[in-house]
Amino acid sequence: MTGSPLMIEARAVEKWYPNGFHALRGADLTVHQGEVVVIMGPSGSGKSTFIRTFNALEDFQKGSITVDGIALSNDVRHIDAIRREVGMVFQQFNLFPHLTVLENLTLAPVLVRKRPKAEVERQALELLERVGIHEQARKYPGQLSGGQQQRVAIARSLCMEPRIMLFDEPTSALDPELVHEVLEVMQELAEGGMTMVVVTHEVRFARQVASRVVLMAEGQVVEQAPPEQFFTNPQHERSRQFLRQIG
Amino acid sequence: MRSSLKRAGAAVLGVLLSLVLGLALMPGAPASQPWVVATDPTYAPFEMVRAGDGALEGFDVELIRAVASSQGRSVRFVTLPFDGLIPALRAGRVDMAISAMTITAQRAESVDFSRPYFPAGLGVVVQRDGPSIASLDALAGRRVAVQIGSTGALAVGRIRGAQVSSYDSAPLALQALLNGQVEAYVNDLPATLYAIRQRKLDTLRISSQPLTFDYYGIAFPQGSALRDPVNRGLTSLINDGRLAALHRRWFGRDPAPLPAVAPQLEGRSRAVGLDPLLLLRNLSRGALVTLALTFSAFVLGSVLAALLTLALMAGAPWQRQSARAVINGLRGTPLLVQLFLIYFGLPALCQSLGMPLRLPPFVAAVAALSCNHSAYMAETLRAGIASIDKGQWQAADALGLRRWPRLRHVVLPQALQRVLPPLGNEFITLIKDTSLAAVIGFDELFRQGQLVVATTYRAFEVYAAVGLMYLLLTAVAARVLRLLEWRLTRWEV
Repeated sequence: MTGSPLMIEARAVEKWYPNGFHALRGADLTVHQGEVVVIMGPSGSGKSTFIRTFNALEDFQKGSITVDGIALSNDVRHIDAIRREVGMVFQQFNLFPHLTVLENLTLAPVLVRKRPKAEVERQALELLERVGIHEQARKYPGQLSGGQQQRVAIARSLCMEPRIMLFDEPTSALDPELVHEVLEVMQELAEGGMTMVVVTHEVRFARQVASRVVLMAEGQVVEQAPPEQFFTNPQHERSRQFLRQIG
Repeated sequence: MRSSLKRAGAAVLGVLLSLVLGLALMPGAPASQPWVVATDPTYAPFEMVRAGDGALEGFDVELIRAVASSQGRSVRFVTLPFDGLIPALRAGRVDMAISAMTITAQRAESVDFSRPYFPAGLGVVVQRDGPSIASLDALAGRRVAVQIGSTGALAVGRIRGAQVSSYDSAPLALQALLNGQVEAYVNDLPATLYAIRQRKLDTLRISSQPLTFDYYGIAFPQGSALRDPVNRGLTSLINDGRLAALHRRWFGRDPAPLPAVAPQLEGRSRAVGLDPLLLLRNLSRGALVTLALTFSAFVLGSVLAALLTLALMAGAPWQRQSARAVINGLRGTPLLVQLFLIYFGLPALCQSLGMPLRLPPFVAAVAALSCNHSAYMAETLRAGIASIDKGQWQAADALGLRRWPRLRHVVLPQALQRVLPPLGNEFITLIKDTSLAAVIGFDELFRQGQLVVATTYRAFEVYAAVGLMYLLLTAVAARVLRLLEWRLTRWEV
């Protein structure tokens, strides 16, 4: 995997929130093309904050982040360029409730990428079919179940044709019986070669899909290893402690 | 719970009703009681409020006190707007009114008059370089100020083509003339001369000799028993020269001789009755103006509110603080004060700076209403935008939407849907607030009602009709807003 191009390179990232909380304390991570990196760790360890720095939803004060060769800085053009390459799926779906499912998908490609509406709609319907929601294209998000909404959110990100997908606890807000339908879509995406960074507590998904599991604690990356090794033979005391808690 | 509330409400209503009835049915004042005399103290030198202690003074005030003491009585004054005097007499709320009221046949249909106590006449006041006006008919096509309900208003109202602005008081009408908002002011000559001299309004002049010969009288409810004692008192003051002395003191010369009966009452003409069709036509015209005012103020107010919101939410610190200060200023002062400040104050200020500014009432009213309401709308908009979940902003960011598309396509549609009910309330409040524009002589719905009352003296019927008209406007607005709300929320499940 190290032979393929570097997609994300985060070095010694430090972040303080305005209230003074030191959320990231020198976090490092590299992600190569086609990798599926699963980030685990106790709550408050900075997982979400960390991946949100990759597309500039959170700023940081020290260190450096390079995404697909573009260095993240305060330059608006850099931020725009990176957001075009990076899709994100949120815990709370964050679909636009006043737009139909189809309009949720087509809004950004038409506004940001300036693509013709008809073409985007065709692509959007294909994507909806891929995630199994094409029959609901004209409905509003509020009329769908949580699992359906999250699949729409994934399709919405894909419609921008990103090279990297970030998932911020995509199944944590779902009823247990709806989790698998979202994970299935993510697995298909991974098998298609998408570069993915996933913050999740789903051990099964991590075991089956991840190329690497990363454990974060107190704003740092503590351990990273292939899933088999991580789950059966963790090297770090914090990892063992975490696995005991979720086991 | 409900029924006990109802019972409590009924009890309160009962108490109120009996209070109102009790007041209305109170028997006439016993002999030892002072006369209750109504006056509008905005008409120097006849009746005015003395600077300093706020006591009433003036020619009329001294005269009625002298008349009362000649009859062994005292006087208690009640101040009312001029156009409220006759309705108050008709309602029996006061014993008499002395307020430089010209004796006319039309008024005599609604009230009884004493014998004439003052010779007056209509005069036209213009700016020093204004037009020369030798007769009332020469006012056709001109912008003319009058005091609502006055003889001047009646006379000018009969001139076809005059653009009349009616003001609540003589000082406001004179201010409008000074500001250049009207070309001429028609009112009783003595008071106007006194005002011009007293306030050193050197830029104004009397355009011609008196246009009419009229007399002032004291007005009573019809059939009042007090008319005879007052007439006896007046006659004795005329005969022993005290009235002439009073006249000399206030006007510097002897009065012209007074007839025993005003010529206007010899061979009376029919007074104006309340014509329902005419009333409906006038009120409808007023309602259209009210609607135009409301829509203009709402549209302009929305634009101002959007700018204020933008400054509040996305501006630099100094912009945020300025917007906050503007909002606090607009919300912390009465709309009426803002209206006066813009309509009377601004042109006066510009005049004194040598930059004449003519501000039509419509422009002034729209400016004041839209500024005032923009402050409230900005707060509502800000709250609406702030209520949109952070996840919505972040999802838009993650999709690469820039500031404006993010606001336009993601945040605003949701925020507007949320603030529609409070904005609708704002609109309905605005409909009612436009009635304040009446005070700057603007003929909207309420002022149309006042004008009808000024000639027919049927205060209850007319103001009830005006109220119904407002109710109709607000009910229709509420209904339209409901439909709009329903359309905007079709996505909510």
